[in-house]
Amino acid sequence: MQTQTIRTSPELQKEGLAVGKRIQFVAWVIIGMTVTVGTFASQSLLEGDWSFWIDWKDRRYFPILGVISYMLMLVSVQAACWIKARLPVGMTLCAVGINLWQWFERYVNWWGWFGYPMNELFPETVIPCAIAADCVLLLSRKLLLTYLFGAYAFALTFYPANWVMIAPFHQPIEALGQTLSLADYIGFSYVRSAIPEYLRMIESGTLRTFEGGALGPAIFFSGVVGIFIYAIFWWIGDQCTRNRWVKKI
Amino acid sequence: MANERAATVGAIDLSAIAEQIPKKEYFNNWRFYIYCILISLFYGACMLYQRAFAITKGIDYTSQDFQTYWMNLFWGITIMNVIIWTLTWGWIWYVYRDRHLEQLSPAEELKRWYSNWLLTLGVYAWCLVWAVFFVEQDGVWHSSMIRDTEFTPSHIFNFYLSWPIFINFGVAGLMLTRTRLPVMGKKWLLPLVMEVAWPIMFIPLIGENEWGHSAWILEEWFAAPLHWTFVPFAWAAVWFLGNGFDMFPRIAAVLKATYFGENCMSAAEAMENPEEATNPVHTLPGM
Repeated sequence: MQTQTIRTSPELQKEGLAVGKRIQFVAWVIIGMTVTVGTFASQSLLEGDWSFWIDWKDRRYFPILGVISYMLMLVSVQAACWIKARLPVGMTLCAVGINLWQWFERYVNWWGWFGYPMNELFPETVIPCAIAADCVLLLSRKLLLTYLFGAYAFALTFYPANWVMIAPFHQPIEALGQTLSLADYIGFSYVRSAIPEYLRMIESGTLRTFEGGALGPAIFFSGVVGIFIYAIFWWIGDQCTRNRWVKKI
Repeated sequence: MANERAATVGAIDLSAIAEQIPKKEYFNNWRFYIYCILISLFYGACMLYQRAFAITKGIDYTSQDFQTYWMNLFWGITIMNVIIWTLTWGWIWYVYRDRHLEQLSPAEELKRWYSNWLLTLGVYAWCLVWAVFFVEQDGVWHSSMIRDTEFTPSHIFNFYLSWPIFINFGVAGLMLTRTRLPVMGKKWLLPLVMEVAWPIMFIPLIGENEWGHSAWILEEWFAAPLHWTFVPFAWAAVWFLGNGFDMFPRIAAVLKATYFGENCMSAAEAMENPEEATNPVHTLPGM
């Protein structure tokens, strides 16, 4: 170790603290931006139409795809923040960031450019889910318990957290002699390339024989999937942030 | 005054040391904000152009209007990309490079951490934000329009402009860290390398994506497996987080050496042993 024996004045130390704060501030802004848009890109390309449209927020696929698509990156960020800095708020901050970005871009792009109404394309939220998972991590401080209960808490919270927003659009209405939901009616009114496949994929299979009862199994199934996703992406978050140096690339 | 900035120094020349210590004004974040504003003005103009001429001139590839308004723009952008890449990367690698990194003082290193690492990666991040913005515009476009060609208007600002630009700044940030900062002088930090290299895969994947779209109209189902190939490359944000967490200890060490007179590894030692130079244990209180 080389020793630098420079003794500095109190004024200089004060200046050093100010410089440190400035560097930290802009560094966290940059990291926050990157993690937010990275999470958004991952979620958007994975969940896609289920996130974009109110008539896709169904009882069978939405609870599962919603949980998976968000959990991937949120868990990695949570792992990085916890392992490297013991910050138990990584997942929640990331969830808040992505939610703000989603509202911004849906106003500017989807409503601003092509005029789809916000009632049709408001994003779901995972902030309560992230708070629940962060709390399990903070209180237990055990990875195994966080896998089991944190992931399950995230998944089980997802649909109830969004139900307040979605419920009004699941009311039945009669239009053109047909009984359909308000969400479906909005979907038919604003024609998109995403309608035909939606009808084929969602309104098929055993959903009708369950009389809408597929929601419960879907939520609990998302919890099972979530546990595995949690474990895998915690590991990825850990690996990606390790201090590794290589001589050649 | 220089003498007021450093009180007492043992055997080292006082005025020389005081001159080296950067004033806090150097770390004025307004530089970063101004870069972001300039980039936003440029991309804002691109967005307005897209909204003005995408529907009116960009629906039919075979029309003369499409060639005038969109293909000419595409070729202009492509040539601009090649020129900017060559100039930026060539200048950093061959001209701006510091060939005596082992002699760097902590004060100078701190300035470089701010300008060459933090702000460059900040601009990279801001360009990434805009690139994701244009990705979303592409989603809106394809939810409303039937695909024409791979040069459909939303792709020109998305695939061929905003992505190459953020890649340009990413590679520039990597090169600057390699050529201007001692810790990367002889070894590469894997999270930083991957943070830049991983999203470059978006560009080759355009080939896979467009090839798939030539066979199917998969916009009917946006979250199709054809789009899932892009997803893992968005996880590069976690590498970005790793880059930050791994480099912070060295920044803290040179900052404390500069302003608080604490010990830190010299530049020559950091070059030889970056693992130790970035070990957070050296920046913990009392260490």
